Amino acid sequence: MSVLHSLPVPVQRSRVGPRRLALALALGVTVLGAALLVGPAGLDTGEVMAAMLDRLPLVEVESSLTEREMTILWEIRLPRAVMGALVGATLASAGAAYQGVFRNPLADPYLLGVAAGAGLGATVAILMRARGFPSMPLAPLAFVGAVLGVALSYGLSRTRGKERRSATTLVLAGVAVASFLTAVQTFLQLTNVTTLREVYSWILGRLVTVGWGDLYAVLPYMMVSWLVLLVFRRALDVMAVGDDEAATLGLSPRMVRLIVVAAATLGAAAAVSASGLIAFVGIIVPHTVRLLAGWSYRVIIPLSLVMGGVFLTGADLVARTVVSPAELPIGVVTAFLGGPFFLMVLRTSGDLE
Amino acid sequence: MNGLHVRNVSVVLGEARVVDGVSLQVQPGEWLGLIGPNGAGKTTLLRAITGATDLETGEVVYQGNSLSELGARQRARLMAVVPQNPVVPWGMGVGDYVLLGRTSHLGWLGRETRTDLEIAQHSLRALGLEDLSGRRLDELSGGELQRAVLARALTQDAPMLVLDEPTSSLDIGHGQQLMERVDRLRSEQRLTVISALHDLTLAAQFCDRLVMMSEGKAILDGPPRSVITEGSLLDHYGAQVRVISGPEFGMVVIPLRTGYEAEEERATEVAGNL
Repeated sequence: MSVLHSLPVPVQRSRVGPRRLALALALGVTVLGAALLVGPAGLDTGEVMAAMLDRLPLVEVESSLTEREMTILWEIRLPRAVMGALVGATLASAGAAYQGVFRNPLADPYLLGVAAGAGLGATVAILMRARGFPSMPLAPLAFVGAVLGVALSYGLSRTRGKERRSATTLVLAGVAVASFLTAVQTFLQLTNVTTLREVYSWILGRLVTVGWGDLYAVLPYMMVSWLVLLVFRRALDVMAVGDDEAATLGLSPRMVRLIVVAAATLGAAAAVSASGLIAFVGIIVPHTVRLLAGWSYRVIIPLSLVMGGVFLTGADLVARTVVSPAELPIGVVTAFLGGPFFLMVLRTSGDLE
Repeated sequence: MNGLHVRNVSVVLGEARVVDGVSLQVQPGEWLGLIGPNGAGKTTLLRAITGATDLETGEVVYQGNSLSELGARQRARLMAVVPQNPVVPWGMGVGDYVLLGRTSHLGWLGRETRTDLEIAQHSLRALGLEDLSGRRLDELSGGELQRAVLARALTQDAPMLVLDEPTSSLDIGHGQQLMERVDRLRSEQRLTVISALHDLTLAAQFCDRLVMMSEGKAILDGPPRSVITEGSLLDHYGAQVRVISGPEFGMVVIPLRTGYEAEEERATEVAGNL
């Protein structure tokens, strides 16, 4: 062994690398800054920058913003931008994790009934508000619906014999559960036409009414989700060789799938309950990262976290400026921008097989 | 209680009893070859040994451990598997692939230490792959890929190697070289090897002992000379062969063209009548 120790170690392996991470984080700071600077209130750029610098520890800068302007900056723009970043990071990393654990490039965080369950929960909340429970909270019900949707998919997939319990069974159970829950939701919606508009606007996704309270309510779930996915990113790489080989390498594929699905679901449910169904982020961001930075989840998970935040904060910026002072639903923007952008990356950087 | 002990193992898949009461032993450092016609149950028996499929009856004991009582992680430290058709993930690099072999040795954060990297490097060198560690797996030739899979198994640092038809996708030269490498690794690292083999000549030349399977049962067990005979190959493979042995090549199995002599005779007859 002494001879080995003196040799260099040239085994090449995948890593995020400090340069890539720094680049992604710099992009994140830029987009976050832009989100604070731009808005219908027309705050002065220099003064906003001064106010932001003043918030940094050990930095004292005078800013001439009025109290009202400070409120717009810190209580409206900042929480909204941060929520965009959190939701984007969560959806993108959850999407990447689902793709890894199911070895399916089309898997997204809504695959196993998160969206349908949350949709049903939100619809029930909106209906109850209209029926004499005006204080019925929407987000917790959407969250519970999302978790129940996935739990139902998982439970149903386990009723088959042990030998046949595969990733495919789980995905198919998810499809069935999602169709069923969506049917229930559509039924409730159509028998209560007055609330149709409200339900529909929730489904399209929005970040409008976000305050710090909403943010603190979902942050713990999201952080648990990120942490688990970061810890399991190497396990996701092992899963790439299939369940049988992963088992001979010393991993329990069913256990990994259960833990990763649970973590990604927790995050996705929190994201959906806060912002509605924002389409596409969970597919586009991880695939863009994959095309630009390689196959390994040790790279894809951390970069998807950062780039998901960048993408959604950016999309929200577009959503609230192009038709200002009105706003587009953010789900429309993510699909409208994301689709063509993704096609461009796909064309320029080759195959996904 | 050293070595591998397979006791009365049966595996039922669906309605079929694919492995039927098989018992066998492999001594430490020994190379046991599993032969038998297609569908005899070789692959399923190997899957039963590695814990990839549930046992209907019997038990598999390795180094005193009943394998059904071990978790995947402990099992992976005892035996490394080279599958017949390894999955080749898109884009994965050779270095990363070989490092997957360290999975059962890593802590819960999955960080590879210097020792892990050195062991992987050692495996790459042992299989002549050190210059390919930055290449993508899907760009390798068939022979290079099979060596990468073997390097991954070696990186597991397990005392036992399980190979399922390792030469079936290789040409005669690459097949031979792979068997030579396995043999050398076996003696250098004192590995115990069990492998299903398609090529009877290679099986006879490289294995210490052979077990012939037919219809799920182990029907013959012994040195190659006693298992591979013209009679046993006719009975269980339905194959007409000549088995030739010689001092410089060991044993060779030559398939005969069935009915060749009869056809020759008939041709002479027809020619005479013209």
